[in-house]
Amino acid sequence: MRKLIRAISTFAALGLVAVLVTACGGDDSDDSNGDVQVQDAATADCDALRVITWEGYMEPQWIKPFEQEFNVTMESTYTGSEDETLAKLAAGGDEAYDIISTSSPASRSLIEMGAVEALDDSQLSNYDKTIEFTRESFINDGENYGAPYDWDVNPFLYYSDGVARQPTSWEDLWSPEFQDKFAIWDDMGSLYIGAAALGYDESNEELTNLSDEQLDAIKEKMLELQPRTVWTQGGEVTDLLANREVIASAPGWTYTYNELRRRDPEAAKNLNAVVFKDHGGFAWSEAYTISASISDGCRTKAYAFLNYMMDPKVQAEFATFVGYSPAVPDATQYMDPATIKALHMDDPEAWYENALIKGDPGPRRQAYVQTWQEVKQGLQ
Amino acid sequence: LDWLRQHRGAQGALLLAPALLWMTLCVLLPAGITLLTSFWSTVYYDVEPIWNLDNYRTVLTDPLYSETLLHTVMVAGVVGIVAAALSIPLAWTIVFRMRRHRLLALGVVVMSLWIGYLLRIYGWRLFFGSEGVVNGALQRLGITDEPIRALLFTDFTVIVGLVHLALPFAFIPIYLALERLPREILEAGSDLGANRRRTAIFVVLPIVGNSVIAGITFAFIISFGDFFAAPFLGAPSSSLIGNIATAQFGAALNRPLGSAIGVIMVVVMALVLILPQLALRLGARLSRRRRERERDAALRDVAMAAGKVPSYGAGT
Repeated sequence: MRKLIRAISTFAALGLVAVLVTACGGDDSDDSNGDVQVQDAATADCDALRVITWEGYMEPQWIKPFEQEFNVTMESTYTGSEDETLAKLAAGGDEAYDIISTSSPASRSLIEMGAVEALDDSQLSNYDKTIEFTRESFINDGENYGAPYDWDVNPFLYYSDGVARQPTSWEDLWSPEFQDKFAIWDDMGSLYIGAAALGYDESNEELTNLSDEQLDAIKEKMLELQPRTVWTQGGEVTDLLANREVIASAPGWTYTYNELRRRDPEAAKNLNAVVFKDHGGFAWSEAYTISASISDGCRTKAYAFLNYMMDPKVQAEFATFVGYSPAVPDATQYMDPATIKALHMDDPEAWYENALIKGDPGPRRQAYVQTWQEVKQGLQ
Repeated sequence: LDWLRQHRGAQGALLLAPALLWMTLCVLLPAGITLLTSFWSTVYYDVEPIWNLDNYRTVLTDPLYSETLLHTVMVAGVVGIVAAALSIPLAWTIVFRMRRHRLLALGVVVMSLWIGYLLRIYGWRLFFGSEGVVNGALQRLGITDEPIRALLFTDFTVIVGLVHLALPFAFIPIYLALERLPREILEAGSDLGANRRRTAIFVVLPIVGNSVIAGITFAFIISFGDFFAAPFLGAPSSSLIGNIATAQFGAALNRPLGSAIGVIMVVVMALVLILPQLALRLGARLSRRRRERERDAALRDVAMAAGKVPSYGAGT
């Protein structure tokens, strides 16, 4: 019996040595990233990275290769909205996550509440490959907090056969032909439509620092609107437009436009996604940030993940799947022409050239939310 | 174990402990934190223990909150009454009219609880939508040429969705009360010359009144705290106080104000629970006094007819 136990022990020890040698050998021979950082990240003391992000953003086709390469498990929590993420973090939830997905309408609050740490850009070799405007929302006091991974401009979605005259500006939303026939996004960012109609959209700074008087004027202006309903999730507005409950959405999402065209190209042939030239559209970008409470061991792997998500090949796979534009233009090398066009990557500047960033009002957030609630309650 | 057998108090404490622990951790502690937070302030993004009544002042004086609260009370009140009004004939039919398939009928009523709430809400969207069941039927029958858009995204649709949600909760106490009702009482009513309607209104309803009020109360409470029906089925202005509270905990990052709304909602619900009971007790007391007065008057009449004043002794 003793001999048997000794034999098993010896066999197990040999097996363990073999596994270690193979693992080390694997790192040395793995030249997909080809630097010492990858090896450091793979061997760092961190079994799992906890990520809060959107559903559909952590799919196995790009997450599994990362897990295998960096010897870590990605544990995802899906959020229903940026507000939900902020609320969790404001209540002390930053300790529950290592990596936090954020976007331009929420980034300032996230940074200023101290939930995320400033990044060392020298550890993000892919960061310089991103479109410059996608980075702006995550820079605070000269320090960068985010690794951008996608972006878009929220267009105005409408059926051209539902209106007699094609809209050319947000002002057209007030015309009788849209009354009681459009849906509006239940988001304080919808106030920016009123701001644009009143000319308060000269700059990003103006949009996110509207005074009480300006907010009152926006409220008065928007109370003249007559939307049929409000929507919160992409699926909702997609159904509303698909069933023709409404003929337009202010604003809409590119995801909705592409989804409707995919579902029924014939029914969606009159669906238009426009970014008004005179007012500009409201652009946003999303980025991964690192929690201020992350452990040292996990920080190395978190950097590896942020960098990985900005890799052109991963960007192409991700953008094709989720339907938003990749932050790294080089991703188009791995995308088919139809997808490149659908995601405006054939000429991204043309899509965002007039856009203002749909930013985070930060300390003015409560006043904005209150105004939006008052607008909603007063709408007929 | 022997010690435990000898100490009945300890047995009780042990049996109560899990429930008490649950109540403390999951009800009292969060409620206490909410109450405390409602008296604090949000400074930038942080909740600071700066004691004040500003949040309550805001909720009670700012039209956004006070009018939405009032609107929610009215919507929940309508839902409570409609749910009970539908439950009474339904329960009556199942208890008194159905001899077979009673369990099946009960199952159908309760079955809606098995279906996810969001699914039910979406179901109403499909039912009332432009290409939904109602509009489709109206157009096929030639009654309308195009969909009636006013069927969806109105306060009416919100109330329909909430009644669907609350109906089983209003139905169950009413059904149980009717089922426990002694059949002899109905027979007595009939023997004394009352028809079915008079028996139902003047005999049955006073007996099951408490349960009807319990049903209305349950339906009220369920719909008062709801925050799904309004955004999915209502117009933009159909928001309920639950939606405003949710926004405070979410987009506004103002937990103290959200907590104050929560506390006021609890107070409203407590009043809805307590006031009907107080009203019922008051009604019962007034009714008893009225009966006593009538009895005294009758006795006095008898005494006067007999030519002597009655003496009230023990047992009268």
